[in-house]
Amino acid sequence: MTSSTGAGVAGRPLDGKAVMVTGGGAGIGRAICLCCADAGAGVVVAGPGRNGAETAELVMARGGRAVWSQTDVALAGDVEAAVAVAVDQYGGLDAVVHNATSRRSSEVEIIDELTDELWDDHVGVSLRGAFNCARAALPALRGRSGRLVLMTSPAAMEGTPARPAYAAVKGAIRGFAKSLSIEWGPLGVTVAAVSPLAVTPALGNAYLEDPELEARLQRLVPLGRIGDPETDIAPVIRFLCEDGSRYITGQTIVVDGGRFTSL
Amino acid sequence: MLGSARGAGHDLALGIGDLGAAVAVLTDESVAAGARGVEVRDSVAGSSGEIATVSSAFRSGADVEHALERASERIGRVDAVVDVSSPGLGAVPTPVAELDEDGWVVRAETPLRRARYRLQGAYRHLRGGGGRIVVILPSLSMTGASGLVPWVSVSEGYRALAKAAARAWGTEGITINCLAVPADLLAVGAPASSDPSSYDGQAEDRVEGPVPSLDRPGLPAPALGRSPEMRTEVAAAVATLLDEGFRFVTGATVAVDGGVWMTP
Repeated sequence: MTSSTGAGVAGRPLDGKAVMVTGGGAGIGRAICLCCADAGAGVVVAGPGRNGAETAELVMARGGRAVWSQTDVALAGDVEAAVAVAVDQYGGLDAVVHNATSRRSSEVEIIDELTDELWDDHVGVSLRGAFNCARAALPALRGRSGRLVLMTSPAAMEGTPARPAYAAVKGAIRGFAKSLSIEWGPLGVTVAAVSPLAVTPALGNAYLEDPELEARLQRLVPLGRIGDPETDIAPVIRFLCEDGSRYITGQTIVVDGGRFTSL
Repeated sequence: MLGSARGAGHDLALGIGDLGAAVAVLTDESVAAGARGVEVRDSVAGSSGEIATVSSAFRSGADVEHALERASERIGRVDAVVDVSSPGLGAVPTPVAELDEDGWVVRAETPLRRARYRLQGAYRHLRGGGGRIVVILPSLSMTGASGLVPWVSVSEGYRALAKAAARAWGTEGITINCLAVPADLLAVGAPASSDPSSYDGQAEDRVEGPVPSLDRPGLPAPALGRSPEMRTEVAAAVATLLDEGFRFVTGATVAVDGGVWMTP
């Protein structure tokens, strides 16, 4: 475990708050950790690998507060332990961002040949992970105007023939978020989904498999480029953790440069 | 038809039979299927349709494919597969905080996995000759509902999977569309208790309609004045999706709820 109490800067939007980020070791997850920490939050980087510790070190190198909790989100005990780390380290937990997805998310699959093994990997990380996060975090989130933010994908809304399991679990995440927002509304806890289009390690792998993909995506995006995790995507998640977003719940926030306009 | 021989599946089978189609009800309710199938056939007497019942475990895409082969032996070539599976325990409102892992798996992960099996089996049967797949889902899958997080998650996961399949199989002449109907219609015939042992087609204690509304309180009344009936309006909508006029529509979701949500 790596941690630092760090020195806060007065007036930042997440000062005094604690945010837990699953899949915080790389890509968008790491960007969310850095962005929320820059805004004053104490961050729990919940991830299975050592890159979670590296994210925590990067946060601290920028003067922020972070702790890595080794977490497989498919395991309820790991998620409960990560929540306990937040409570122990920061005195509570204000927001959970479930960003983790299967390491095999970028694999091209044929729906007819989709195996139980690959399916279970997607379901375990995305869907069981969401369930585990919700169950483990609710006691900490209620009473603090808590937030649960779940990362979904354009594939959830449009379908993708190349990654049907990924589409299915990301679609399920949207249903999860919509229903839980209604269930938790009376508890003062909001739930939102975010659908990003960003340059990530997974997209980088997809570029390698399909060299034309990047140019095609850029033509599809009115803003003419693929989003940057730290400067285009993470600030939106940070906002969803701030007080100013307290009347947003049950929504899918699409952060994709205008690519998808028919929600 | 893939799904229950009871409740929603029963009524929809009758309605599609009323409209002249030969219908095979493929059900995983192994205990009750035989007797219920007779009841379905008896109650459709006088309609122009033919109803057969085929029971299958549905534990893989191959199970579904084989059941469809048996169905085609009974009713002839299968032109369309309609999936109107029961939500099972998913229709019993239960807060997420009160679910343990087993409860989550039986309500969410297992039904979503079996939805994939049904799609895969339907595809394997239809490929080569083309055909239509229609998935019946609760309209609250698009809007969410308290206490029904697993069922809504399954339904939205299934909708996304159906879109992926529509994109993958369109050039083979296979279309897939979803019909969103009031959840109450689909809950009829679901297990009435939250005892996990009552799931998986073995329940004796089941919800018999009408069921209490599962949707949010305070919704606007249906624009058409009432909810649809499965045997008449929903069956007619399914028939429309199977009509030639809809041959170029795929990956779509059509709400047949009388005009409640009017979602995008």
